[in-house]
Amino acid sequence: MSTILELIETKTATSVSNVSITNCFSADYDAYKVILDTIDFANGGLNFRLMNASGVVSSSHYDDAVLLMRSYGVFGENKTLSGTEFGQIGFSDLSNKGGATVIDIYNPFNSSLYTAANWQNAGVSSIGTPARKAIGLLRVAESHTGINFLSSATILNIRARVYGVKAT
Amino acid sequence: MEAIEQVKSTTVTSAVSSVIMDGVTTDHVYMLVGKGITINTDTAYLHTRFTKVVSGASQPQTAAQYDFANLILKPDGAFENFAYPSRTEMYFANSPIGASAGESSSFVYYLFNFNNSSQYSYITIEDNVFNSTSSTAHGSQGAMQYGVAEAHNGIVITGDSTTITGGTITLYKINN
Repeated sequence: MSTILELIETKTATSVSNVSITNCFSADYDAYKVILDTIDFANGGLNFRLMNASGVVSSSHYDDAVLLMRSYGVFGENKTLSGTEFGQIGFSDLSNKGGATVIDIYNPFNSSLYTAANWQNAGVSSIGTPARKAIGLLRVAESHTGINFLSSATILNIRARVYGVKAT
Repeated sequence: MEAIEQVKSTTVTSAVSSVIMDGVTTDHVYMLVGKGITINTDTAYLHTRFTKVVSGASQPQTAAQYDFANLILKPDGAFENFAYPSRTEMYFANSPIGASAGESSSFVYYLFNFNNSSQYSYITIEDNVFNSTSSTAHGSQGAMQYGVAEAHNGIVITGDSTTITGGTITLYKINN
């Protein structure tokens, strides 16, 4: 058995508060890889939420545990139970210096299972990289069809690609 | 359409001081997978640097611009913060590595923004090495940036007071 990666959708946006990729999750795959190579803020962090057929899921069912590793300082453990979003998944205080995040999402479309996510990131900072490794769980057993990226700061530039992971 | 495309694969069959894995020529995200990497000197180290093309050849970049932050996971003690700004390289799991039978290092890196000359280059890090002092596995989970806005074409794995005697390293492009 081998595993292949298939591109589902690429999304770019400029100067927005949030951006959605709709209908990227389906019964075709159980696992997805989301890769962001552009996360650009004047100074801000990026979070994400799942979407269902009615839109963004913003209920208080997001649990996550984020290990924040700073090349320039102390590490931190950021844990949230019953939050309204996952994150952070990226950070930038240097305009137009790229971005580096990989998110693995499991069973988003399966209405019988909660949706799980793991992510890793190299953040962009003038004083060194803040790196992140994290796990998350959306405790709602329903079919999730899309992903929504958001921030409290203006997202100057973002590019995300969604891939399906399939065993053959 | 299959999105993973193999760009280059190197299998070490005789001792070398370093292995250059170049081949990044586009703006895609790349994945670098190393497995079964062995060395000939017990307690020596392996480290990573980025490369760029200089006078037609891939050259390791040695400026003190490597910023990295990792958590070292280990079964024999407290997890360890392995984080520094402004270094000239990054070591595998901050570890002295074993050289006996069965002892090797493996890793998965994602390479971001390497081909972009106006942005920094980044990798996310997952590695697993055989720590010769602890006689068990130690592994990094983290990320690294090289804070110079210039194009890079890959990375180099270098032995510190050792040669590299085995292993396979493969570079994949993740197509858009």
